[in-house]
Amino acid sequence: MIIRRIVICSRPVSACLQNARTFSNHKIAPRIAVVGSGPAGMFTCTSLLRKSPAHIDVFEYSPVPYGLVRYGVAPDHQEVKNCINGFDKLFVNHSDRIKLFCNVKVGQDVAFDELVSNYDAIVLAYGSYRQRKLQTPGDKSTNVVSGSDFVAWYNGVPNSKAPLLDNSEAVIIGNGNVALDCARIISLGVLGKLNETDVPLERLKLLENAAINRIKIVGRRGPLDVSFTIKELREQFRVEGWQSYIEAAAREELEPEKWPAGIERKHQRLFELLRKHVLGSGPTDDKQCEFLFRRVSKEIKADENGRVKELIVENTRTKQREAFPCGLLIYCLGYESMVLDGVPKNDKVTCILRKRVNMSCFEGTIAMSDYWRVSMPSACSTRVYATGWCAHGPQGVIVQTQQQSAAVAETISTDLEQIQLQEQKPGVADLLKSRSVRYISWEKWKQIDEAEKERGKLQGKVREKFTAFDQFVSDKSPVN
Amino acid sequence: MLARRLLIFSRQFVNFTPVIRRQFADSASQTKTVKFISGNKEFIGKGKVGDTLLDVVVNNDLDLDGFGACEGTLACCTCHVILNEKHFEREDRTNPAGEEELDLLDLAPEVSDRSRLGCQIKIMEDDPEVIEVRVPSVTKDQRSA
Repeated sequence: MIIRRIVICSRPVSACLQNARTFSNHKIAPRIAVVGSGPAGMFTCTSLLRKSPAHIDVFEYSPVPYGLVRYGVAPDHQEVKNCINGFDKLFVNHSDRIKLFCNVKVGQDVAFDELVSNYDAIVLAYGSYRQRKLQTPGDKSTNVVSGSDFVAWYNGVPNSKAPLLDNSEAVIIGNGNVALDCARIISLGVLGKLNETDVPLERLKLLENAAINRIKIVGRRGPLDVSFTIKELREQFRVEGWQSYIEAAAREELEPEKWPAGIERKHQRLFELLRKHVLGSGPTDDKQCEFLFRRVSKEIKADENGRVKELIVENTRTKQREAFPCGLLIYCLGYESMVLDGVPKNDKVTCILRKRVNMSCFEGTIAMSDYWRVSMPSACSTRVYATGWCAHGPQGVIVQTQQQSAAVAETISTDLEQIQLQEQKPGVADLLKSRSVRYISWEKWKQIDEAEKERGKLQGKVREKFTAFDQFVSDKSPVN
Repeated sequence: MLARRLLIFSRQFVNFTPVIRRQFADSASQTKTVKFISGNKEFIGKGKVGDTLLDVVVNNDLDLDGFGACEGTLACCTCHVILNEKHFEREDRTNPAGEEELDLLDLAPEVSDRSRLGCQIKIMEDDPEVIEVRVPSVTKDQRSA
């Protein structure tokens, strides 16, 4: 593997030696490839354009840019999506230095090694989009869906499978914000309170006609172990028309004397909010969302058609088995990192070696030589960096990603300043054209963007997303 | 959502009124300097009385990229600043952080007892000529991966 990489990397090295004389007097602007146009990639671009004279090509797997800002952030949080305005501005203000290539799959349309040969630096910022699987017997039953699939569906990701929402009971496994987002979107959706958002109309209709009036949010651990953020939790408690509450059995655990000593303000405020919403007297509203803790999933039972009908859990307080009837089961267990083909990866041996010198190492993640830099063979002159969720795991909100990106951009610009670049790297635009890859440029994205807003306006919505992009990437449309 | 926007708008409006009135009385809008200290770097911009710290960053195109990602709509905490004691004390008295702001600050890295969101802090007449605030930044041990 390493030998192969050296061979690949030696190509640009030998090429640059030949060209050294011709270009030595010029200051050559570095060319950087950014893989992923979500917040991690775009915040990195923002800083790079300011801090270095680099030319940047941004590659995006989806036909449209901005990653989880478009396809992850909940539709009732439109304000969070305002960062798109800043990203769009980059392409306008620096149109000569930054180019967007959507609908390009690194690893298929263009190999990672080809990026290495054609750029001075590469920034991996492709997130971590593989959902951790629920490993419970019966998990293949119909309408057992991952949180990320459900989020993708209501956010209008092309080809996402519609969940069945015709049963009154839904169970959501997980105690993080994805679980809260799923619960809140169902809660608001059935009340028709998302009509002005960017949820695609046909999906909005399905939500509005959903029969769901009972949601159980089920956590394996206790109420003090939740990964909810307080804003999202408060929003669930505030959905009018739904009674959202913490199960009465959690009351004792939430008493302040049970809180760990010396906890931070944020935990105090979160625990206080949970405590305030422990169920007092009996339920009142006909729509209820209940938070249940200390339930370990044991089995999913299906009906005669193979569709989920029950989740069997073990209550670790009582050691009793319990059955939660449900026609929809969403599991939100977080994301797993994945490593693009060709990118150095931590295997068992690397991890053993790195742990010997007191470095952290997780098998199956991108091999990093420090917090920002990907560990590349020393013969390789192209610098590779990683930031955001693909580098450091799926954690935190937009602010952490933004800070990481600003810092990685600083590292990159400092690194590149110290190198005397010998030749202008070509990038892969011509290569993509020669392979007839129908990429979507920023100009074309703006056409899509304008059309979506226009379609939205007709329906009184902020945007009506396209859920198919064939018309923009078909063979009949001209190559960009 | 609309209600929330209205709330934000009305809050700004309420806060703004006395400032406008005072500016009329002075018949000149005062300009002050804001120094944002981030790690070992300083970013300096100018703003008028009534401008928020976020306005100063945006209007002066300061090198604090990503600051104010939600454009001051109280939906993120990227404009997190740490005020000095006197500054914080005054703001806490006259313009305390509401629940929404506190909820967002709970997510901010390096949050302190004097943390606020820059979009909620306005330049006031009684501010010193040079206002200093701290902006937390990532300082990761380069050896850890």
